[in-house]
Amino acid sequence: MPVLSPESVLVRNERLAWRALEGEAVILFPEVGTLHRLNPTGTRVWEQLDGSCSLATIAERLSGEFRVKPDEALHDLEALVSELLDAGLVDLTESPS
Amino acid sequence: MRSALTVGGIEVEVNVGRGRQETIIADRYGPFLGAVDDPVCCITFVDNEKGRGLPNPPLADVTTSGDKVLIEHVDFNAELDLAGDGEVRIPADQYVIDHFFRLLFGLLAPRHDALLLHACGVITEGRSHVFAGQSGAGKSTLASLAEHRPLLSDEHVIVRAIDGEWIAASTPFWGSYEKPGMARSAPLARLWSLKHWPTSSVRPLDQFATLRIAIENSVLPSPELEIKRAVFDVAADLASDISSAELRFTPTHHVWEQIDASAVA
Repeated sequence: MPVLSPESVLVRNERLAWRALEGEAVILFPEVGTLHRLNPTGTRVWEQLDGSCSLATIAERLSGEFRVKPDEALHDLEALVSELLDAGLVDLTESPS
Repeated sequence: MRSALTVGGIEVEVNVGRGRQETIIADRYGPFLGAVDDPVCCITFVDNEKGRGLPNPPLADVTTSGDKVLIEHVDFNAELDLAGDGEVRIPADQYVIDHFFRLLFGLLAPRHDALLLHACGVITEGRSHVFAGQSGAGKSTLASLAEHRPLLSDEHVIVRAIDGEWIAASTPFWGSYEKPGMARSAPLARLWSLKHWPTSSVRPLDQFATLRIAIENSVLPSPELEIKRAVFDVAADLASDISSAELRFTPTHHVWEQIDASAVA
């Protein structure tokens, strides 16, 4: 399992299909045949995992949107992203695209 | 014979020479046959003279590359272009021909904003209700209780978005390979999942559940990723637009009063 840092940049697995339904991301992993569902906060994170910015940047945005402390936002973000990485739904990139 | 086989508004030109294949297709698919107008693709039938197909045949091996499709089956094989001309070499056997057409429309459906579902469809109060479920879920039972309500099919129904509106349409694919009923369609009111229960009740479901029902009950002719993605996209569109509910039912005629009442609510 790769080690995450605030500078880590992640991108959604391009082999997936996904759609937002009622504010929640529904993600199909066709190779595995699984269907995943993210709550609205997770969906907000998912939408930003396009390889264009670091976890620190996403955490800063979430901190402002949800009015939580930046380090708390980063901690929760890294926990979520670890799960997404573990499930194969996102990939770690070398640098922002 | 040169004719159009149209299911859910998806028109396929069928070319078949005089003989038993022509008789089978004309007899079995009559309500769905008409003049060629604007087909999405064309299929020429060639009798491979294999005689009767195997009982309980294995699934076909389907490979796709863009519009091109290769189908290999112990009873038949086909080289198709889902946007052009193709050929199927197949015996003059109604069950094998039916199997081929189910595969074909399963491939065509997601390319035309449609899903071919394992489902029973019934028209009531001028709108269609589609009850999805695999074998044993209760589709045929529910259909048998429908009384005067027109049936779309008791086994496979096609749902399709046409100009932004969803319809459910009958297919020539019925349970136990029975001869199909009339070709019908009606605006889609609701997608249902079925569950046998001591009493009858209706439980509304959310969009995620609707998506799940659609995906799990879609005819998937091949495990290829592109086909799965295409089915997902159409299912997500359906889930965004159409409500769903779980019908817990016991097989009495009162179940239809419940369904009709829920449609008004």
